[in-house]
Amino acid sequence: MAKTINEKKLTGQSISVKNANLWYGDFQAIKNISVEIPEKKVSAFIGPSGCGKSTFLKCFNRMNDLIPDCRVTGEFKIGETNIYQKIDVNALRRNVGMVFQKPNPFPMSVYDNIAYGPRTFGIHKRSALDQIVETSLKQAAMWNELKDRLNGSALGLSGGQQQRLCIARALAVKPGIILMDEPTSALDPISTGKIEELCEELTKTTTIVIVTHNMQQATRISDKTGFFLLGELVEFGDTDEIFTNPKDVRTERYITGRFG
Amino acid sequence: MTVLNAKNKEKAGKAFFAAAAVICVIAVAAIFAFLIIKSVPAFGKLGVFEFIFGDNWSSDRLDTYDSPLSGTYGIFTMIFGTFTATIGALLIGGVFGYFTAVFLAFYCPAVPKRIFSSVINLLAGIPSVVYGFFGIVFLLPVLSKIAPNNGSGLLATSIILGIMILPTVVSLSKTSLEAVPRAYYEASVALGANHSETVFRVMTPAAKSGIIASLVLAVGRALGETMAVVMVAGNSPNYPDGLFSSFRVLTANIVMEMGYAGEVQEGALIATGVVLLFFVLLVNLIFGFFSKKAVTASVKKQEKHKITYFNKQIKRIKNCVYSFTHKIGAVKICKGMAIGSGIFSAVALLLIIGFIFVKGLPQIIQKPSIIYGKYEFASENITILPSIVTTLFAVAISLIISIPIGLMTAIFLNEYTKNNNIFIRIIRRGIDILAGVPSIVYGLFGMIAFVPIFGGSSSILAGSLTISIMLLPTIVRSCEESLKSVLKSQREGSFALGAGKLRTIFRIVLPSAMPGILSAIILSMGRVISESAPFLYTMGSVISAIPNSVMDSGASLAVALYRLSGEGWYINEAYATALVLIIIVLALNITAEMLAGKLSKKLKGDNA
Amino acid sequence: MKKIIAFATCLLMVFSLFSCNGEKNISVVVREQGSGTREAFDKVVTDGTHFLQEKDSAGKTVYNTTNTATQLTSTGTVLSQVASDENAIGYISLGSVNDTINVVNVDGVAPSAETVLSGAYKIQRPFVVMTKKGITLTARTADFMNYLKSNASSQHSETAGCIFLEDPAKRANEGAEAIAVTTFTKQATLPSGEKIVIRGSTSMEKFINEAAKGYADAYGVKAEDIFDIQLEGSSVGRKAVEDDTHGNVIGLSSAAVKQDNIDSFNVCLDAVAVIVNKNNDKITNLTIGQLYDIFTGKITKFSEIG
Repeated sequence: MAKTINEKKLTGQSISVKNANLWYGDFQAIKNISVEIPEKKVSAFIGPSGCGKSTFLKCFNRMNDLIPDCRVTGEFKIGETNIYQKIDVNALRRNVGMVFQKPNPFPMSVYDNIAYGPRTFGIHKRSALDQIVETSLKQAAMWNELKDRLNGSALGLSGGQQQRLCIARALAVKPGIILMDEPTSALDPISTGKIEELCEELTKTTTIVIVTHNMQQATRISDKTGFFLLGELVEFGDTDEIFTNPKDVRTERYITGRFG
Repeated sequence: MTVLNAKNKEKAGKAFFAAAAVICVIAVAAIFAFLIIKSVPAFGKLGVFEFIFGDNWSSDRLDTYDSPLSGTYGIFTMIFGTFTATIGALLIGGVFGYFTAVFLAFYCPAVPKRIFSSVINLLAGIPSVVYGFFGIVFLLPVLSKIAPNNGSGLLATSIILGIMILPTVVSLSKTSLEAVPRAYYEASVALGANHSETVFRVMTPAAKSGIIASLVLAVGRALGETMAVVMVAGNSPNYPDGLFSSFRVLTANIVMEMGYAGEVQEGALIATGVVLLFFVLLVNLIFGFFSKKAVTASVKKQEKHKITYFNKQIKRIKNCVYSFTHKIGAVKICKGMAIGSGIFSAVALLLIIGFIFVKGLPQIIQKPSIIYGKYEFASENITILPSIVTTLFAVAISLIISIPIGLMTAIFLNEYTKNNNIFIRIIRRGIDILAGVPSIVYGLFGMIAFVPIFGGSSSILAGSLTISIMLLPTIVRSCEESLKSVLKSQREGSFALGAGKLRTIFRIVLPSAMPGILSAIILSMGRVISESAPFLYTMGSVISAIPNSVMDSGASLAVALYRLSGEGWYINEAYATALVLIIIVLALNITAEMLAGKLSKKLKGDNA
Repeated sequence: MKKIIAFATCLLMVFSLFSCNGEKNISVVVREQGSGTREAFDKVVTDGTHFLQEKDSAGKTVYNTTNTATQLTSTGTVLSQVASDENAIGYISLGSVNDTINVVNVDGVAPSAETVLSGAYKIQRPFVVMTKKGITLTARTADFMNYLKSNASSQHSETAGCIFLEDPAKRANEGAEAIAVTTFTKQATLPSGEKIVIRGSTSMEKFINEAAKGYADAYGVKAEDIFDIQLEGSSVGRKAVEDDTHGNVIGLSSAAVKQDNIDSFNVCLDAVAVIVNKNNDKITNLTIGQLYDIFTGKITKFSEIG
């Protein structure tokens, strides 16, 4: 069973968007965005609140499907696959993991949290699961912290640990891309630092797209940065370029703190 | 191939959940269809106008549809009686309930408040026959000291109904009072108003629509109450023209005469049920209106118009602080009322539970055989063991039917309905309607729909089916509440990992919602145990041998209490039965509360 | 607004307090319309021109019972109500009388077997056993019917407090063929058949329970194993008999039955006893006329009765 799904699994790691538009009812939240996100890099989206960054991010794993009255047009390609065709959404989400603003571990043990994804895709053998849990936690640099409390409730962890557990959980299904929606906004600086380190580590194997409010964070970890304003992607380019020599005056005003 | 299968599985799942929801709608439709079809000949024969506005009820059981009527069937006295009793109940239960809620929300210290609040909730679980029984053995003798008769009539009915609606009024009003933003309180106190002024001039007005909604809901309950009223109202079909005059309410009419009813009479009684149903639905519509207003007021309006509303409040406070010389009196009275009502409610509660305990416990200790004794045919040794067994049967069957349907409907409504299309609205409206239908109307429905299917005489199966439908709305609502309480981020987390809807529901949502669902199940058990009106003409009302199969009939515990308290010579056994009933219901309530508390604690990870 | 309501309630309370000084009114306790006991009572009690229940010139049923009466749905409730209220008057089946209340003579006659059979005690009614006409009864049901028709019923009637009818002519409906009292001979074994279903009048509960027990004892079985007894009212009994398809339904009615599709016989007579509170020693005898006045509300105090 697992094998069949593997064949179906979408494996792309780069994202290519052309002429994307998105509406919530009558309100247009994304306005004609085209962008190429390179693989195995960290790309950051910055911009003021409510400008469509998170909405745009959620287009990549079709989480917007869950919102009533939400309509998407344009072309979204992951690798070579257009993800708004008739595809298996669950297979898409397996390849495109997501970490949310607030840590959302399930109310079960640490082990079960991480095993949830693999089990969903038909892996039930204990030894295989043990292996996956260990690798995922090691990848998330949590193995030493957690190896003795795998059976404890995930809800008993600290906020920072919970968020890293969520990252480990996402890693457990070996995604090609991980989307992070302001993953550190609810965390203290030390936990934030750990997650940022983790991001850089992960680019060895994974593409990371991160939405952040924190411009310093973007400069610290991202290779590419995009600036959003009122549903438009004003500018997308190398992080150094954007922060030192922005092409658009709006970007400049935002990063120098004069607006937003 | 497997992907396709997974997809089909999802589709099948959705279809199942939707089917459950459709069953709920069918249930509503069936209740209306059966009642209306069965009452149309009676309406036709008697004339709608004459039936509703005639004030002479002289039924004749020999009347048939083919021959001229010899009886007269007009229910206006009962409509009037129903409304008078409801207003009476509202004057007592509403006023005391309101002030008790204020007392609990703003005057009561924390520890007694917690105990009091959960006791008030327990009060809601006490079977209505127990209230009626309490009325007969305690209230009537007390009232007869000042009454020209034995004490029965409008006043007794109003008091009993008032106490019965107290929990509804208190708990709902308390919730809306506590939902008033703390900022209002602080603003008012900062302006120099004292505690009581703030409470009665700022906090209570702000919770107005919630309080009104609770009163309307209480009216619905009072309108539909049957057994307790039958036991204390006197039941003569005439206008209640004095506090102690015998009068009859609509529900009582059905219970009183159904047993002996002939053809036309039965039709007229079902028609009475239809009229009752109509009134209760009207009240529910009003309730819907107010609760919607309350919700919009608290969610939207207060967000948008917070500033203006706030300014208005501040102006009011200023006015009141400047000119409080004469107003302070009213506030003081209100404060006194609040504390007084709090004490009154506590006393009323203790009285009912305490009285039954004091009278019942010695009976059980002296003659414990009443609980487990073997049933002997035509013997003076009453045993309630058969009733306990019957009740267990009813609980098991009705839960087996209603829990899956109710839970699946709740899942469908909460997990599968992104937008509010007409289908969803029909389902929701249907469940709202079901929730408002008085229990005696369920009884009527069971009698004309289920009893004939199972051979024309009452049986445990017919009774259990009847009560299953009655349980549906509460189960759907409380399951939906607990599903709603599961954070959206949990679902997102699961979806983001590529899990399908079914997996998300069964692995993430349901386990998290389990405490709520479990307590809904336990409370439903309590409901089956304490209801009596739906069982009288569907499951049987005779205390007989232990049932061998679900086709046998028998009295449930609550019905047994009704019978025993009626049979004058078994009053001691009645005390014992009432005590057993109360203990079971209280135990279930406490279990539900503890279970919910414990599991949610566990889920929060306190034991990690 | 709240003050007005509170004031009004107080006023009502005070008013009601004033309204009850001196001797209390008689509390009239009756059964609900449609009850066999009430029918038997209402159709006999008269002031000479009107009855408590009668048909007016248009053929409409009229109940002349006072509006202030308390209506109750069972013999037991009436009994306990009268037992607990010193000013109450009510009526119940003679068989249900116990020592918690006093029985009043009617027209100078106390209800008893002799006075009922002779007709001197006027408020009486037959207890009727019914089966469906033309249906073949199961062997067991037929056997039990024989038992009921036999002199075995005599003893059960006595225990149940009703008066066994020996006169074959009176056992049948007026004008119908007389039904003789037979002697029951037990069969070798209990005849086969499903449970005997018994439906009908609650007033006959004691009688039928006794009879069922006696019959079961005769065969050495348990009554609950061969009977299904549910008493909810005479009309329920009639309906159940009409709907009988298996030949195992017996109906009980506490009022005369004349229906073409039903076979019936009167097993015993029941007197409806007028009862008052134990402490009410002034009232020992009432005429039918006085009963009418009390139950219509013309007489409201016991002191008005000379």
